[in-house]
Amino acid sequence: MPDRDQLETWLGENEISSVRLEATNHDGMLLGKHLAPAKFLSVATTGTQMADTAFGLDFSGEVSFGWDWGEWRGNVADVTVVPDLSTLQADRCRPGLASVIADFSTAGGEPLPICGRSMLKRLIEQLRDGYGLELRVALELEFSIFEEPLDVVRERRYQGLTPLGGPSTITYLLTRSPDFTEFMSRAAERLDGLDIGWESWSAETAAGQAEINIGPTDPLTAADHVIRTKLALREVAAELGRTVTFMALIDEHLGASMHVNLSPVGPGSGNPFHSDAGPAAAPVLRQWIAGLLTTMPAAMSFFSPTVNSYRRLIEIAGPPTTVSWGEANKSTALRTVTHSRRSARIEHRVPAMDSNPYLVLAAIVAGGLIGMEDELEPPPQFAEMAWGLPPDAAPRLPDSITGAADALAADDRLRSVLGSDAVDYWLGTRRWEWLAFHRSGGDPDSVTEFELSRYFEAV
Amino acid sequence: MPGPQIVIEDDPTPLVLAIAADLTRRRRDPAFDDLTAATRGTAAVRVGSGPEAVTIDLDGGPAMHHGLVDPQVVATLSPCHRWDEGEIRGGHDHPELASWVSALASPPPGDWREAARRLWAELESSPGAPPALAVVELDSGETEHFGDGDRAYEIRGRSEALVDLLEGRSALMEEASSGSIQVKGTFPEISVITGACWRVRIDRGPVDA
Repeated sequence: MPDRDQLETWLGENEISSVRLEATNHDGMLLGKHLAPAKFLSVATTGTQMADTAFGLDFSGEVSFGWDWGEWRGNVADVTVVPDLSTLQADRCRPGLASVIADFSTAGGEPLPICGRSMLKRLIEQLRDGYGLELRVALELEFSIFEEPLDVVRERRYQGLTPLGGPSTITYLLTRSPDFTEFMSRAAERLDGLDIGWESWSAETAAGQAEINIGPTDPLTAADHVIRTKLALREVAAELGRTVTFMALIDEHLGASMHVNLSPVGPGSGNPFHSDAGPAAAPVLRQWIAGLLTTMPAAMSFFSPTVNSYRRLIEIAGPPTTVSWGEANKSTALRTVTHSRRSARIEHRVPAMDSNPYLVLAAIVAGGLIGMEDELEPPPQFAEMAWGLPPDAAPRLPDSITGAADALAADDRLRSVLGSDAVDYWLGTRRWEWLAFHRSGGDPDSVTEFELSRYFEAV
Repeated sequence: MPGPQIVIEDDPTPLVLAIAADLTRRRRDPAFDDLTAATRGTAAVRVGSGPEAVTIDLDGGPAMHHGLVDPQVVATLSPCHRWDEGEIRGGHDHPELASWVSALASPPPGDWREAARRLWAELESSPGAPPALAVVELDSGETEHFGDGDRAYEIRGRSEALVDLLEGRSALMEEASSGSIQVKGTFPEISVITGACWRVRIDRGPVDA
């Protein structure tokens, strides 16, 4: 960790006039402060304060109620926001601006139970210390871009928008109109400026929808990349007079996922997800599959955190809907791709784009840990299409925010790894979200102006 | 409750649960239960003009489903889930059904002491609950005290406001903000009490979910 003198030198060399402190709350919302250099230096190692309502407001800004908040919250008490100085970077596209990602802790310095980043750090250490494994994560992020600038979008109450790039819904199509390419090229430049290793981008399955692939890195950095990428895309949209959203589903054509590709490294050489014995034969891989499937109904609460998230669960046209796996099978929740020694991996295809990447990856690592600790064996893989199945063909994923919350509440094993305080707090927020959504004007059957207003800019 | 069990949809909305709880409680009154058994048709209640609504099919259960699903009569409720004698849409053509839904949505005035007792029964075992609860009715000055801790969470208000709050029909934060309810306790305790009030509101009783 750099000392104060080193930080001061770094700020001077990079001519930094403001440091943006970036922290993510339970709902995946990016919170923070802009700090003058002197203030940043004074809090760089000790942290600064935010009100505990950082974890106490819902998507509409209302205070969330209904459960035991835990001892770290009080009569609007302070929580501490501690910069992770390994993430400090100058923004090459914004001269004078630096940013640093932070973790939340209690006044006593303990990681906040519901801080997803802190939870993920702990589980990564558990994986490393217990099994000598380092996980590599590559992410596929889907989002929707509209021609209109944000002020117009707000005037229209998020409805009647024009997808950028024309009406085509053809995936990978290179001939969407030039404004689409202009946007994504600018986005790629912006990610370069933030040292986010994007690998590719392409047109996705809906009009105005794009996918950007972030290259493999450790899970914590991968989640950091997600929140920085989302902010960067919003900034690019503002510069170009466009709008972007990460809602899971805007209408019947615009579902958005965050696919997570996983492959471990170590101990020793080689990829533990690969076996010369054949596809999906490696013992570690099979334990991970089993652990991920066992915990998947409960983890769905993290993978699909909003009422809107569940609207994308459409057979065939949407993400996987069953607790299932299969080699090279994109209709299953877990797609294994294991023929290559170098790139053998699991693609987790369930998380929605409106999810908190730290909590998603924490739930995934927890599933892998449980698979290894309990030496689980997966069910037979699914060789057929895992959509449109009769009810008894495969267990189904929870299809509502309450169903997923109930599954999480019932999963003592996942709770034991994630931590009871974190799980209980999360469950309280999900039940509040269900209640607030319905009582404030949400329509159970369709995406309305209310729902768009609640989530379009917040997730 | 001698009549058939209430059937509610899978993954019910909060309003479906709340009205199902109302129906369960009201049917403990034999006269209302007889009226329910004798009434046929499909009634709905909605809150204000938004999408929050529940349809009750009296020919099939009663069976409850969110939204307005071909109802013959529709009663519009206040935010506290009470019908305040406004027009019931369709009531002219279906007077018996209108009478039934108005009776459902116009329960007899609750007793604040009984409501306080029920809330405490729900609250006392909740994590984070205050060690004691004191409910003060402002007009009479009477107090109901529950628990035996050294510090009680105190709720003050007039009878009607207390009943709405303690039965989960209104929200503690909103009522405290408006001044219709006064409270003395911690902010986190508001959260726990709000949760208990809501659980009282949607207490399912004997229904099939």
